[in-house]
Amino acid sequence: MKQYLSKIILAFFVIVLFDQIIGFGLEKFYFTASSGAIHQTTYAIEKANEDVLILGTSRARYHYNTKVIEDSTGLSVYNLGSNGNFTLYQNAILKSVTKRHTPKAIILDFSDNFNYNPVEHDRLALLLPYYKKHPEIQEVLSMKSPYEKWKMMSKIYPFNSRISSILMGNLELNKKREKYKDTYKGYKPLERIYELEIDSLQLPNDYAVNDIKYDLFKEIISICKKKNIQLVVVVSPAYFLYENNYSIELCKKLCEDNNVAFIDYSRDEEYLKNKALFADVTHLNKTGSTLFTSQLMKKLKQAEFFHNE
Amino acid sequence: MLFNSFTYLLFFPAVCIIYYIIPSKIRWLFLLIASYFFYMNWEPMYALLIFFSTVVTYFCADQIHSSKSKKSKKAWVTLSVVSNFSILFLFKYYNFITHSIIDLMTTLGLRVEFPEFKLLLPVGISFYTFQAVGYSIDVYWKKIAPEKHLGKYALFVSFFPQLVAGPIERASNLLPQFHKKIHFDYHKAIEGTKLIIWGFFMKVAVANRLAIYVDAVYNNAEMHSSPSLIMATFFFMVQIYCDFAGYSNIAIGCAKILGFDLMINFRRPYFAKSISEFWQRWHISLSNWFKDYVYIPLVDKPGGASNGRKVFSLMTTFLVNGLWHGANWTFVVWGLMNGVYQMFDSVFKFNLLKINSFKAREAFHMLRILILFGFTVIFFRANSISDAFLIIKNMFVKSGPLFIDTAATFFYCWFCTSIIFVRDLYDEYHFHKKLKLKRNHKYIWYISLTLLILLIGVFDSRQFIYFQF
Repeated sequence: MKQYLSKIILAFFVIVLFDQIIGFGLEKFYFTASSGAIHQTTYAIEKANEDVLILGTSRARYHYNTKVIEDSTGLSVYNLGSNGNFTLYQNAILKSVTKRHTPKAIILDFSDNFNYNPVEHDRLALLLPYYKKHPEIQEVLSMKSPYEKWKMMSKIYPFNSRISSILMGNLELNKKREKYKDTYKGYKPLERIYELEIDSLQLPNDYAVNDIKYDLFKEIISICKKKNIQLVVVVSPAYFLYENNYSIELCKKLCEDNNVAFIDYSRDEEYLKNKALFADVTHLNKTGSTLFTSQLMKKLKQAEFFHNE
Repeated sequence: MLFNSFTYLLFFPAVCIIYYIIPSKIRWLFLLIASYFFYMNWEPMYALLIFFSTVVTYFCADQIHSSKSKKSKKAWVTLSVVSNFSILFLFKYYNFITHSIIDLMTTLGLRVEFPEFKLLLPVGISFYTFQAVGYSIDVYWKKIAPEKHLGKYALFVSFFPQLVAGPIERASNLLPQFHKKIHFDYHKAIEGTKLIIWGFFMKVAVANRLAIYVDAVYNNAEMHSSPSLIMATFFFMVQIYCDFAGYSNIAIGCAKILGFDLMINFRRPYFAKSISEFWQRWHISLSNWFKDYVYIPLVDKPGGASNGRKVFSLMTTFLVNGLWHGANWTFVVWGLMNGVYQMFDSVFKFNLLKINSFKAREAFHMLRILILFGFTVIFFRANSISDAFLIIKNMFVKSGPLFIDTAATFFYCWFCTSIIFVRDLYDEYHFHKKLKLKRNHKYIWYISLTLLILLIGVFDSRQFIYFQF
């Protein structure tokens, strides 16, 4: 038994040693990344200080042309949209941003639902590198698992599966590639054109609302109200038909109850009749996103949304 | 409690420490409590089902043994089998069968109704049910004497390392081990630790990683082109192997540290050179269960079985095997396809090609098995029969670029798959004899694997595929 335990303990210490060394290196290069997704997350949490911020998932990232918004409003803009990251992530990002900066306006692209999805908790792993330095994030991350602070004793763990992103983010080549692809202040246009015909989706008429998620969405509204940030919730266009969308109905009701502007493009025929504006079922392409952003800006200006201009 | 959860990383060392500290006389009791605790972490009420299965099979086995007449022995074994399978049927197959009948009747213009049961499938029900039923049959066939100690028998049914996803143990192998005085065995513990690390790597770094690509393609099958569908199917073959063999390795490793030997469940199946050999390497404990308790009783006739009888027995066995995996028509087709393969391979000794070179013949047959099994896993993974046929069709006709979600995911998928391939190749062709690795090299290998798990493992809420069975 002693022999076994001594071997296990020795192995444990060797692993801890390498974990600390490798983790130290990963941390150093993580925060020096100047392009790619990790740069964008670091920018959102530690640097974003623009007048207008866009929150949401990939639909936010691909749909809101920051150049068009800047030209139209004269305000500085950054798109904080992050692929596959819904309310939980958006809540954490907003808390981090507003801790050090108060933007004039936030455009929140709503593409979420209010039911429980464990995958969303898994995806919070993106925020692990910021766990120690940003206590406001710890609260959301504790929803991922109650053992998160124990797991954080490993130095590699926060950077799990990030080696390639860290490498890419530090390459000058990647920065050039992003410029070539017209990436601008977080906005990333999609070039491809969707080819299939429009389909009808059967969405659930109702479902059990996850209280935590619902409350986190409400908290986004209340943070904006408290900090006097103009908030508009937008459902951007998608290339499918539906009869009922319970999630959108709930979101609309929540916005109405809290006196928050709500704009829904999901049934806009101009988009539903034109597949050339889409890259896939849920994402507009470059042409579609530029058209959509222009139309949205027109609408917001008419409603004097940017009254701080 | 999942093996790949933080809770288990705390649970298992705690169990080991207490297990070796307490007197050996009460270790079985401690393991029994630990096993029920492990299971009740999911749904406490469902532990009653294991308890019921334990009591029924224990009592019936005792009656089988003590009954004088053949008729009453048969009645007791029937009671044991029927009562266990009734629970399995209710939880796993009732809704599938009633829905299938309703669909059929609706197609014929008739209307029927059945009461609907919205029951959560108890984790591992198929595994412990089969283990307990196997015990009853073995007692009936006089292969083993009934276990007298109810507590140790209860531990046999609920032993936590293999409770929820096997290997499906035989009473003749595991029960006697619960009666032996266990001393800590250094070599066994080291062997067990290695298996656990390798199992974790297979599950967390490989299966979970590949699942990201496979799910992205298979959940939107109609959108994807031929190269993407072929790639996803290949990755699923690796995923399902690593998921299940990974679980088995962790189970066997944990049992070894506690001093018990469980049966090997996977032996590098993708190196099989015939269909029969494949089933001697893939999910060995289940394949043997079906062979011993379904196929042999069906085919075993005085004077030998005719080809017709062999075909019938084979197809029935594989049909049941398919249904064991899930209450869905996709699994029925999966089972039948494997039955047909086996039929051509072993009953009719079907041979497409005569190749003289030994190595070329081996390589050809390995590739053949890979491709054949690849087609069956489409049904195993597809969300419906229509999806499966669409995938097969699009594999041949839908051109387009290869779907690459992110270059990183794709790179990790291939990197991890390569490690699995090299390791299996190393074991299959006994390279350890040629390379003569020193102990230190092995130490470095397992430490590197642990660091790789930390670096590129996917720590999400994904469960083991076989938990659903």
